Amino acid sequence: MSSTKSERACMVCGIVRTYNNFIEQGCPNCDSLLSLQNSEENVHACTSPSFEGMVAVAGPEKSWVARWLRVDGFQPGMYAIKVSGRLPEEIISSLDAQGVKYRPRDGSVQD
Amino acid sequence: MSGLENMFDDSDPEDAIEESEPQQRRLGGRSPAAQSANDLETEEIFRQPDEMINNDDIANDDEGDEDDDEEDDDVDDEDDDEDEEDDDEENGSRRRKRPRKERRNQFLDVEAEVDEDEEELEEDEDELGREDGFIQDAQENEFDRTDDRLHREVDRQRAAIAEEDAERLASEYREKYGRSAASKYRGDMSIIPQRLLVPSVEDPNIWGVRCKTGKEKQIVRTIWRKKASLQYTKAPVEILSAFQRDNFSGYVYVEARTLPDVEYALKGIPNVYARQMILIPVTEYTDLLRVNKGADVELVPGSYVRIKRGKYQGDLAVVVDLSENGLEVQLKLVPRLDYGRTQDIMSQTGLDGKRKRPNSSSRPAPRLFAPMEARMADPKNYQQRQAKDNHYIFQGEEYVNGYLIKDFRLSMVITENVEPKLEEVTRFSSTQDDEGVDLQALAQSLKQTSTSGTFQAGDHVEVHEGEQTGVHGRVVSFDRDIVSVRAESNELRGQVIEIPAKSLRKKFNQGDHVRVIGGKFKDETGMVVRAKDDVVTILSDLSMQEFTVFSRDLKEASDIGGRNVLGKYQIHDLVQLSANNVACIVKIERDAFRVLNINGVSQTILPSAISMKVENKFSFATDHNGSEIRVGDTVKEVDGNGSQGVILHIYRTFAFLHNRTQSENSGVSLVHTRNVVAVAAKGGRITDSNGPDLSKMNPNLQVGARGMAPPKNIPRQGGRDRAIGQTVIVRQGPYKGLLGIVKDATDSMARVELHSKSKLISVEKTKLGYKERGGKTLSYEELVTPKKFLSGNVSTLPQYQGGNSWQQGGATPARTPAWAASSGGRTPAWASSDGSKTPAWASGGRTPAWGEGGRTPAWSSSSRTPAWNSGAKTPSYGAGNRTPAWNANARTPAYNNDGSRTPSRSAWDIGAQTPRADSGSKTPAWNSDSAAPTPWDDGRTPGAYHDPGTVAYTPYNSAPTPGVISAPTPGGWDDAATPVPYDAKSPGLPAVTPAAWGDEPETPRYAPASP
Repeated sequence: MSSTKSERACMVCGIVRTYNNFIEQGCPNCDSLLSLQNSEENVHACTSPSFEGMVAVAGPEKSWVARWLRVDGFQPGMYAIKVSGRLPEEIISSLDAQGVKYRPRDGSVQD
Repeated sequence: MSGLENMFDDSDPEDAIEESEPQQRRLGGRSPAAQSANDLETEEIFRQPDEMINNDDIANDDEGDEDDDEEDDDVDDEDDDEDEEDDDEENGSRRRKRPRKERRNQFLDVEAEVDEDEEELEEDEDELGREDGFIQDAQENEFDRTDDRLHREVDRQRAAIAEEDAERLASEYREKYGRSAASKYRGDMSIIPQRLLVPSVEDPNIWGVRCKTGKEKQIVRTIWRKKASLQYTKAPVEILSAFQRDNFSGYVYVEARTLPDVEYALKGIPNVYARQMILIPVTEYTDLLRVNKGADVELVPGSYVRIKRGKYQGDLAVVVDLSENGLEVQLKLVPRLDYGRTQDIMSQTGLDGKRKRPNSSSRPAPRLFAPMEARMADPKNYQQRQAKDNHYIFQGEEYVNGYLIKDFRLSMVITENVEPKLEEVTRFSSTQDDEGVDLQALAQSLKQTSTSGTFQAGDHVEVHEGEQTGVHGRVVSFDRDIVSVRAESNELRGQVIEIPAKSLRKKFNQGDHVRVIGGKFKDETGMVVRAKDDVVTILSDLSMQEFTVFSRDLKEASDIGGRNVLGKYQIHDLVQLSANNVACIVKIERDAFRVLNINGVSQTILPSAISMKVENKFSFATDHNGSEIRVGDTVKEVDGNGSQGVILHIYRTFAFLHNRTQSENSGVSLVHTRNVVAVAAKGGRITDSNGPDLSKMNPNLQVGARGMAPPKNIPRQGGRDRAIGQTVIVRQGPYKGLLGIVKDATDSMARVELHSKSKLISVEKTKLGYKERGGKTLSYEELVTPKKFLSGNVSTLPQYQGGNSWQQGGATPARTPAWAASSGGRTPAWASSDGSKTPAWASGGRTPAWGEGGRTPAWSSSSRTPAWNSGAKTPSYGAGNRTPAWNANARTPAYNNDGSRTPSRSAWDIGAQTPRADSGSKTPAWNSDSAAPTPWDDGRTPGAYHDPGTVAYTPYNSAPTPGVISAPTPGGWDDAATPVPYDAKSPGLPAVTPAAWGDEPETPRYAPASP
């Protein structure tokens, strides 16, 4: 369980990985948007150490849980149900520019 | 120039690099100049050309091989060889050469060296002058060429970079766009409302599985690893997902198509109780994955939070600021610093060589930052910000105004159910910060506690948000967060609508009587004086003060009350705060007491500040008039605002009064006991019997009045009232003759339980006879008077008895004969035993006579009066029939002996009485007989007695009077103890008495009795 200390969750897709993992490999889903790889700054800004609810998504396409969490298009892996924290404004606007609507996973948006 | 050129040629361009080091040059061995020049001077001289050549070479190299060759034409063979070598090098390994040239290039910067050289060369100006010139020329040229070379190099580098960039970009693009589709962001680009995602029956099932609490995350991970490792085997784990929620501890949830899939996935995973598995209904799926709005969003600067772990675990903190991403908060805390003391302990190793570890008990108490201590403890890590005086950096932490300002991760902070205590909150407001307690923030923190339970059926509520805004009605029922309201507004009147609890607030109108059901003012009741939105201002019933609360904390109420118990202390309790300070609780707040202390200061204290409750139910004090006052008495202030109140407590010389009509301090006030007069005593206790009421001393006002009681001089006995528990016989009144036991007593009254009637009656103590063990019956005075007085000091008794006789007034004559009759047998007994004593008693019988005399013309008309007046001074008095009697009574000296009395007092008393006798009699004889009347009239003031004219006889007057007054009566009343002293000193009395009786025509009855 020691690994949980350094674990972080991506604020965009909610995937849970260790900090080092984010640095080394980036986010498997959103690296094209956030370019977390090799960027401590980005990893700090776009991932959160505070998250709740661990989901092991094994079959993203078929799983209702994955669909509900909107991770059905993503890689299988460990996801967080709730990710505290929000992306910095400039990253949100850059996401907007790339046509991606940022949906905070901290529970502040209900739809 | 040619010579110089030779010299140039000699120098090896390569060696020139290390030219400043002669040794190397020697090692090189190819520079004749270097070899020949052993002394520094020559070396210096040659240096310049060397450098020049170097420059030259560099330039040549840069320009290319051809240039090199052309220039080298002028050079010797040796140089040629060297150049060839150079060429070879350049051709063969250009790469290797380039950095070297760059070094040379750098070397060109050594203008400073040139300058140095120039300075030294100035010594040999004649020779070196032209060299300087040459050098300068050469240098100019060199620079030009160097610049050129640099440009080209920059160009080349740029090209290289551009090439690299292109490659990098290409690779980047390749990475970005050449990747497989899997790496592309595949999140939904369009927003699908979550309600369209609600599960249907086609969706996979979710099973909830019991597991060991706390292991949920680990289990989910394990499942994930198992799934991953078995992915490409023959038996893959077919589940779709597995998850856990912190809110549902003890469960993990597995999403799969079939139950066997789940069982297979869970097989072999520890801490999972796979037998306890439930299929989650489809409708509950979304609840499982509900994401509540994070608490962090609710945090605003000023909110109260608690620290989860570490040194400040459980401590209350105020949010100062929030980080942009909401993951960190800047908090204000009361620091727990020990200024290095723990480290001192840490550095000391115990006997066993182990270091002592700081445990939780060694956690320093929260205390504001003390700059001085910090500086003493660790001056290196102490730093004061110049900008602000109260801003310090100590050991890497920041302290502002004594508080620690520190960033915490949100996960380190408890934001829910913080419930700040008042004592904690006051820590944040106890400084000069002038903020005070931010009730708004406090309320906000308290609001975060669940809203459920704030509404009750029947509450009058109002919708304050949403479509139904403005609708008001009564709560019919509520189910968690949904409240059913019967609307009372116009359009919806009568309809029951369901509203989320958070959209509702309680509605109150002005004039409503409400009770506070939560918060600081809990249990207060009052009337609504103002209601705006959800803030309601109330006028308290008890304290008559206005306070403002949230409507959610209110409830309509018809009763009146406040909270009056907190812990073991109640309202109006007297509590000890410190050795010298007690206080009366005037109000009980949520966590604190409002007290009025012995200094008259009202303050708010915590229960912990109270050391004990002071019990002093039986304490008493004397009031302004010297009357006794006790707890429960109603008193009135003499000066000041003349307020009236019931004594709650008496402490030393202070009394706490309670007056309901007063709003200040909830009606409790502190007065000095000397500044109050008793108005009404508790239980009808006689309060004015305790001393002369000076305001009633004026006989002119007291004509005919019963008052004028002589001082009651029964010595106050300490401790328990001696009368209590005594078997007594009632001697007066309707119960006369009945036997009983004193159950309770005040200073003058006794509650007697009668043996016969099984009834409690109140009787004056003096009207009781106290049965002693020996069978004797004592008077109250005898009972309470210490034995030594009885034997040693005669005068006290008659005096007291005199007092009684006075008090009893008119009753005396009537009863005395009765006495005589009833106990007729006794008198002879005395007579027989003590001989002369009985007459004394007989003479005692005179008192009524005297009393009557006082009232009858007989007294005044008799010739005694002048004798009386003059008797003290003149032998005639002594010679007179009566005088010896008075003298014989010998009460005067005895009286004087009485330590407890001062002559002036007695004089005073007598003064008070005598005129009464006088005025009571109202006989002209008295007035005409003596010159005294005037002084007597004046005599009521002590000053009159000091008047030279009266001073002589005053003591005499006073002396006999008590004697006259007192002696007989007790005789009459008291049977047992007194006689002895009397006889001894009053042999003459028997003789006198008959005379006296003789004089008194009205009391013939006494005459036979006396002998």
